[in-house]
Amino acid sequence: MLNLLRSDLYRMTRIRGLRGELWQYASVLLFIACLEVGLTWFILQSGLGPAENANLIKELATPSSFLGSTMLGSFSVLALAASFGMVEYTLPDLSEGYVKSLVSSPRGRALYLGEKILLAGIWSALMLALGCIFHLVILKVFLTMPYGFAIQGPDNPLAFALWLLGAWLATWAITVIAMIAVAIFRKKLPVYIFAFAPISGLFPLTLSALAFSSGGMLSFLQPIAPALTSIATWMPSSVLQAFSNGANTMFDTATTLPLIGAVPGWAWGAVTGVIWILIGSAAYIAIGKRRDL
Amino acid sequence: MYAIQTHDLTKIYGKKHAVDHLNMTVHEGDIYGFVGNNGAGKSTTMKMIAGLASPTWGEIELYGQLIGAHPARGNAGGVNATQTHHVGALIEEPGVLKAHSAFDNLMMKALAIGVINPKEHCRDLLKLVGLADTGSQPAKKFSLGMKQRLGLALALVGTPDLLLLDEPFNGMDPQATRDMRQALVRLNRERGVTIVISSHVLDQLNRMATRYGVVRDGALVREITEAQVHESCGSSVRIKTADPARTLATLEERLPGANLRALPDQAISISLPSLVPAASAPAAPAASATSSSSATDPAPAAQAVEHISRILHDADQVVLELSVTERDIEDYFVELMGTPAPK
Repeated sequence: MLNLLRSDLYRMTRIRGLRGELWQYASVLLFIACLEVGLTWFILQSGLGPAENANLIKELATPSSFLGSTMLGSFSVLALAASFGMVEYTLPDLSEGYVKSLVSSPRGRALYLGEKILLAGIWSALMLALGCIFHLVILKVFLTMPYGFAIQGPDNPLAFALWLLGAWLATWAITVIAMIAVAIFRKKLPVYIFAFAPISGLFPLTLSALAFSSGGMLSFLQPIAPALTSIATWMPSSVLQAFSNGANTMFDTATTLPLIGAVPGWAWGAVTGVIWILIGSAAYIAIGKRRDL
Repeated sequence: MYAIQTHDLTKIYGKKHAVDHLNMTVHEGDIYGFVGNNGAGKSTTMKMIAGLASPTWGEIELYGQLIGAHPARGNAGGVNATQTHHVGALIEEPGVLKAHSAFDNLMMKALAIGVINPKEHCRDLLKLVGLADTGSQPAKKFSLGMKQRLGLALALVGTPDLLLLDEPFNGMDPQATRDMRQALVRLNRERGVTIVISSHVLDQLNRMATRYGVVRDGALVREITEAQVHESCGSSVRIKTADPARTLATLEERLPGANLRALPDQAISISLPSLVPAASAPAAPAASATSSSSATDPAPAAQAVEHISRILHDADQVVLELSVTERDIEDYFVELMGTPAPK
């Protein structure tokens, strides 16, 4: 598996002509960071109303609140970069037949699939790290130094570390779920549509809507409405949505569980991520092993 | 030892039996020519052997190790190559990552399988397939022949013990085809690499295969050696000299067991299959695989002609004619491919 990782890291880091996916997506994240900070600069230049002022103060309260507002949220740029990066990376293996050359050698198919799941974790971590660095540096260079708009204060170090952990695990989970689309469809358009769904929070929204409708039109769902709401809560996109507010809620109660009681934000985020990484991995490996290449 | 053995190998897609109870045997060191019409099941068989498709029924053994079996044995899904033998495959498409250069494509595979000194190994492979000058050009700009050559190089990464090649010469010009063919034969002779190669171009197979498997409608019609092909095709060496009687006596003495026949026009005909053991004798040194002459093609026919030529020269015979005649192998195989498989 280490050899497969070496090979993938070699492939991702080819710099000539930006052929390596790492440079392509790093460029995208840098562009997005510039765009978001640029937008903030534009708002500042146009003059702040009370609502914008309050929003900006809230976003710049701590590093995690700034990073959360720019990278996470209802449509997470981080999840987009991570999942589409891996989807675009693994799709040619199947569509261009490269995987045939690889799995007929001693490595085998199960190892190949397992390594891709691990690579998804590494890739998600890289996107998170690059996203954080780019946003903080661009903020410093284009807003703090010329205009004095700075982050108000630091995060609690432990809370920040737990926030990063939860964001990473949730992003990794979304990435693995997106890779299932590659294993099933192997064609660009359906893969992109399927991969888009977990990023946009479509699944928890749908479950919440069904639970809500059980009080009206879909009354037959009433017995399972609480379960639907619980499942919607324990989804990675829900975690990213909640984490967009920053690390200040890491030790607050995020949800409750029977027998266990209150679950703090950091535990909810980490456990949700791990559960969906395992579910997604099992599905990815099962589908990948079953289908012919 | 057998490199590959299949037992009742079957693959069903919907209602179609793509491969139907195929029992195939490839000996270690063979160059096995896999012959059949389009849709006969060649690619599907090779995919199952390479672990790219799971059999519906039956077993596959690679070097004595069971690697694929009917689902009842619980091993149909996870087909891997053996622990000790490396398999290289070029099946259906070159399997090239188009955004990357030829060198990077090879490096990625070399790193993935843990090749020692990957850079040097990849440069050698690029020279072997004639792509050393492509530099950083991405593979999407390659011609079909170049992509095919790169696919072949990918199959050769890590010096495999078994090569599975499905129509490897597609799109290649004649020079490139000959170079690749000679390289493969050299790999087989010098390193004992077993090669299973499917091709519609029987002329190419005829120049390299040591054994053939003919498949029709998913089932194996016949497995035959090269010698049996020549015997069945009536291949023979025709000799005409200035002194036919003395020539006949010399050949009878020097080629015991050979099937000699005097022809009405004073020529002598020798059945090629009866000559093959003699032609393989140490007195006839193997020709270089890099020579451009067809006489250096290391097929038994060429070796037989060389051997006879030496015998006649040693006996001071003036040779007027020395040639190999045979029935068209294409006709023979086309006939076989139209034959129903035995029940």
